[in-house]
Amino acid sequence: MLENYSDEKLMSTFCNPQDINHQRAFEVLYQRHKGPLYRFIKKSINNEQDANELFQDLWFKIINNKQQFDPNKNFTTWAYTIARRLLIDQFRKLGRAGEFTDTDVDAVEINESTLIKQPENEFVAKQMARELNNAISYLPIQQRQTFVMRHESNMSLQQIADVTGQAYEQTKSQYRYAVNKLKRALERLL
Amino acid sequence: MNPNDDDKVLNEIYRSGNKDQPPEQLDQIILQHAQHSHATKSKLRSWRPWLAAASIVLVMPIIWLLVQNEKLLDQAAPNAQLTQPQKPKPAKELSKQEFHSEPEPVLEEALMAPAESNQPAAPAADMAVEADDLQNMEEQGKIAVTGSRFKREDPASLETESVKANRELLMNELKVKKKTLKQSNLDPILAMELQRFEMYLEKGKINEATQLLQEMQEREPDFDYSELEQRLADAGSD
Repeated sequence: MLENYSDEKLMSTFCNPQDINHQRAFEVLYQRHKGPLYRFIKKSINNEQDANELFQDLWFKIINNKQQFDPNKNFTTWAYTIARRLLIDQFRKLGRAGEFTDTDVDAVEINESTLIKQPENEFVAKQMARELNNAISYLPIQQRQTFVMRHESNMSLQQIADVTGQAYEQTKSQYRYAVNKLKRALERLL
Repeated sequence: MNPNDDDKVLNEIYRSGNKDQPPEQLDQIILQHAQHSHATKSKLRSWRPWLAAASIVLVMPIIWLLVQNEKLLDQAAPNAQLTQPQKPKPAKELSKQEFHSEPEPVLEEALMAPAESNQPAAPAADMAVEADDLQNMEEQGKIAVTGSRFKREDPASLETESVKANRELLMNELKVKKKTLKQSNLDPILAMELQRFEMYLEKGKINEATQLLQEMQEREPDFDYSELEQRLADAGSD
């Protein structure tokens, strides 16, 4: 039954210790979001050990600040916002804070006519997946995060703009740049 | 194909190659933390009544002690007022009071001082006022001219009588405070001296007895020697 609850309702249940299902609600919520959030952090920082630490910090923050969560707002947006702040702090510690402010709009020609074909077989599919991940790791951090949020948690561009605190149009541009770069990377395999 | 189709294909490729999950150990830590966060609060909640009871148990004795202290202070305050030496009143006020009321008991210090020093140093103007007051009061029939009133006209004699009366009162008070010469109260030396005193009286050695009594009074002034003085006086008269 809890599996059918929305994220926000699960958080409300978790926040209420009188509810006998409060711990179970958290487990359902955690199972639902642990993969996307873990991969978002891992792809942002490109380091497994740091990713593990940040992932733990993220969930500890979610647990400790559960009372501050507004059930009228989207849990996914809230969780990604916290994750992104933790990442910014980590980048500052590593002396890489500049990467977050880089507005990388290097002249990648947006050619909407270039289309990605479905992989013909499983071997090609695996090859394409490996190439895609490699290309994602070379994206500027803002574009990378925008792409990962969109494909990990099916977030709308507006939700991503809310997380990053950017204008919608800017987020849209970042996403299109990211997609075009990835398309180019995959073209070689087609 | 449109861009949305591109998104779909990219999404499929992305998802097929991205299935990383956090380590199971991390899952356990996070789930335990979630459980513990409630447990900590529940524990605190369950301790609340006990903490409240404990605070009452601690606070009540403190309040009781404060109340007791206040009571003691209240009790001590009147006593302090009683023992506080009275300020000497102005000459005019004193003289007026003497007309209206009985003479007040004179203080110990005042009694011990020579009679002259107790005399109010009334200026001439005040004396004139006093005379006027007296005249007015006599006219109004508020006081009667009695022997004591006439005596008052001679300040020296009045003071002497007053001082005597008060000295007696004070001596009585002091007597009450002094220890009686009982065997149980005496130290061995004083007991021996008392025996010597008895012996001198029996043998009629009045001078030695008088000297010994003086020595005893000087050394042990806390005792009441009035009985011995009386006996010495009796022996002397015999």
